[in-house]
Amino acid sequence: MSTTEDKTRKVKLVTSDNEEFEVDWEVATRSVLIKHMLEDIGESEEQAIPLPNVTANVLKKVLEWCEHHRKDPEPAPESSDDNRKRTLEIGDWDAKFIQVDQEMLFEIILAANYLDIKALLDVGCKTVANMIKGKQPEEIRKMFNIVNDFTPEEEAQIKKENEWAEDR
Amino acid sequence: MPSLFSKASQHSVHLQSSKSALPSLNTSFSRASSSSTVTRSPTLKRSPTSPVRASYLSNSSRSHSGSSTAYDGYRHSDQTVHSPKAHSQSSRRSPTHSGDRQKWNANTIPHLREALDTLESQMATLAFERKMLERKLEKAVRLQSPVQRLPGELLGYIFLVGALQQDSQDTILLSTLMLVCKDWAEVAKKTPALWSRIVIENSASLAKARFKLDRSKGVPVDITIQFSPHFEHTRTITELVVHAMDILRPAIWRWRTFRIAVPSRAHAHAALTQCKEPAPLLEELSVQIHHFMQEDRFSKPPLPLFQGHLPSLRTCSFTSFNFGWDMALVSRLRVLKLGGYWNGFAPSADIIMNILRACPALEELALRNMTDVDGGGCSEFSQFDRREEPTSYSHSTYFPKATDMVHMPRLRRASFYNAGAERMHAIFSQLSFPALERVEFAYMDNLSPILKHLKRQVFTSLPLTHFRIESCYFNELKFMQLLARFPLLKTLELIDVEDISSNFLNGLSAHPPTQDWICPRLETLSFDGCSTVNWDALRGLVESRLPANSSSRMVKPPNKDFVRGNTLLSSSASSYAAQQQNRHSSSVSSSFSSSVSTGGSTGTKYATNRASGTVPKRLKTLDLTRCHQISQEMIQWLRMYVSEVRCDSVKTYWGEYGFSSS
Repeated sequence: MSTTEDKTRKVKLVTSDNEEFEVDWEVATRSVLIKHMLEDIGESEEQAIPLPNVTANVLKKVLEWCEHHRKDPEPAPESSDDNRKRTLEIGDWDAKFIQVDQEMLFEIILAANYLDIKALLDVGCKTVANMIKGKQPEEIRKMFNIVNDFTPEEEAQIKKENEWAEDR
Repeated sequence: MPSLFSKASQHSVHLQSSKSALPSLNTSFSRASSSSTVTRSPTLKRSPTSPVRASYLSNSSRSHSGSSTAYDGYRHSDQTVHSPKAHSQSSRRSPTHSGDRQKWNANTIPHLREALDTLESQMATLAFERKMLERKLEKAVRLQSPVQRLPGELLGYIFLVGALQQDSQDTILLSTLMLVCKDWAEVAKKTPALWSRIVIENSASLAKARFKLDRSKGVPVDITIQFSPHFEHTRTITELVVHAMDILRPAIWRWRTFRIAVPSRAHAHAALTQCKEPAPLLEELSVQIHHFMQEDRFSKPPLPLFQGHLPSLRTCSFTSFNFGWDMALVSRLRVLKLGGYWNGFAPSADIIMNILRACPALEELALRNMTDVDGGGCSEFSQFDRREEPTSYSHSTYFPKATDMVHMPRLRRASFYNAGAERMHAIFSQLSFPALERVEFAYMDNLSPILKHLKRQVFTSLPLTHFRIESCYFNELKFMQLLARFPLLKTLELIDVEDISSNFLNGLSAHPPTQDWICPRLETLSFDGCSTVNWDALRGLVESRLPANSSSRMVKPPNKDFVRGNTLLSSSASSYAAQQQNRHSSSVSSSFSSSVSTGGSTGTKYATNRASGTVPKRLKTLDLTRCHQISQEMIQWLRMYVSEVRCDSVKTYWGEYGFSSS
């Protein structure tokens, strides 16, 4: 539970390339990882939080998302992993936010996963899922620069295994 | 060897900087490999232990010795593949006789065989190193693709997001993902949740069910058994259902959803009699019997289902499934849908109320298609409402004691289709639902008594945003008074309601000077099949809700054909309003206008509305399907001011439907 004092507090974050960011507590705690770290270090305002897995340009982008969603309610824990409630829809602002090159898109996904920002991770994963949907395997390989390492026999085997997929 | 290695390394470095370099590297590797093979062939293709090979080699050596020495015949290949041993042998050669002898010794069959063996082993080492390098290279190239940097769990999560949404599974996507590359296939196989939806609908489904149960490991599974009511061989269905249950039963402990939709009760019972183990994770149970009218020997339920151990059950949907109104099945629910109960199987209002009492956290309630109660079905109902309908409703009639009320503080959605007016009257008289956001009534005959109960709920304000009425009749004035209490209403659907008068539309077009607009947030209005909707009143309603700023009033400019000589278009909103003032001043009933204080005429209303300062939202969607009194010309006019106007396709001269221009 956040207090009024918390909301006015500033948090220092240090990226893997040693860049320092000072952000509002409310923005920084969109990340569950940072929230827990802040709980661990207590009231010590001066202590910067190291984020060795995130570079400055990626953190900047992530903080932009956190800033926009700073007032969002925390997601209900029960709905987090329920496939039955999942959709591929992305809000207008998020859709615009995530219009980045592939490199940055996957960096954002990795950072969101590391920082434990479920909603941002969902935006990234939905974007990739939307990119994949409706495409043939060859188109997907081309889009993501993936080498087809199947032998013809292996490919035939997978197709046989998945025959059930086409009959629905 | 070192040179080849360094060459390969160079290739590797080069390839790391070029994404499309992998095929060229493979080519160069294979070229190097083939060149060494050429130098060996045919002499190097031998097995040292094979006598056939040995004689072939000696013959070959002999034939070469005609023009040169036998060793020279081998030296050709030695020039390209530098065996250290062969090299040391050649350096030891001297023109002396003893040297010739040594040379001759070196050319003996055992020596040659040894040399070849050495070469073979070196080539095997090289081939192994080449394979290792290729793997490293492949990995390096892969890492250049950002998607390959994702750990398996994240990639699996993306697959989940893409393949499973709400109630559907994109099986095509799943099979596509597995064909992209080995890595992806492996990730898909090792993501159990991707295999957690099992559908049984024909004999081929059984093998798939086994396969999916296996791959889904221990995660909760969603099971659907569905057979169309038109499936011809009912015996086959029973056999398939029984076989399916044999496969699925061992996993009951991890069933999360169990839905069964089958033609008859016999089929449902074939499945449900096997549901004997506890289902601790079961959240949703749905039993749908298509042929609901049959009254057979399966009218008694195979209880208790799942040993009555259903601690997670939150959603129940039963159609024609007689479960003996077992409270163990329908307690603590969040969603309850009951339908298809006829004659003796129809629940009394008492039964429904008891169920609702057991579900205080209910969020959604749907009652459909059940024979109406015919008195005595509900004690409370008898107490409050089974008396003659009074001409003026006393407080005690519609305000039962607080202790008798069933409070549903979380009920947000409710729909009642042909659920019996008497039953609904009884239920509504005892129900309190302060959070209701969406309500639907269909085929309920006279809705007025129920609307009165709804009105009772809104002494503060009901957050209703969606109201749908289909094929019912009601007192228009009372309905308008009720709507005045729904300030948040966004969607109003009146389907096949025959008695919509101009007064009703006029009521929505204005507000009394001292009060707020009726439904100021209304954006979607449907009059599908309402043949009495009056064009002038409808036009007045649309105009009254347009923004005051003239530049933003039109959403779409009229097309040229429509503009040419069109009388509808020639009148501006204000002139139209003035016309209406004269036209309607006499027609609007005084009782209606005073009751809902809508004023006398559209023109006056329009002026009053603008003066009052409260601005309603403009209509975004207007559904006039099957409103044949509204001409295409009128539709064209409406489309200038409303973003989406739905109507029937235009009939051609020959009575066929053409293309509707929306």
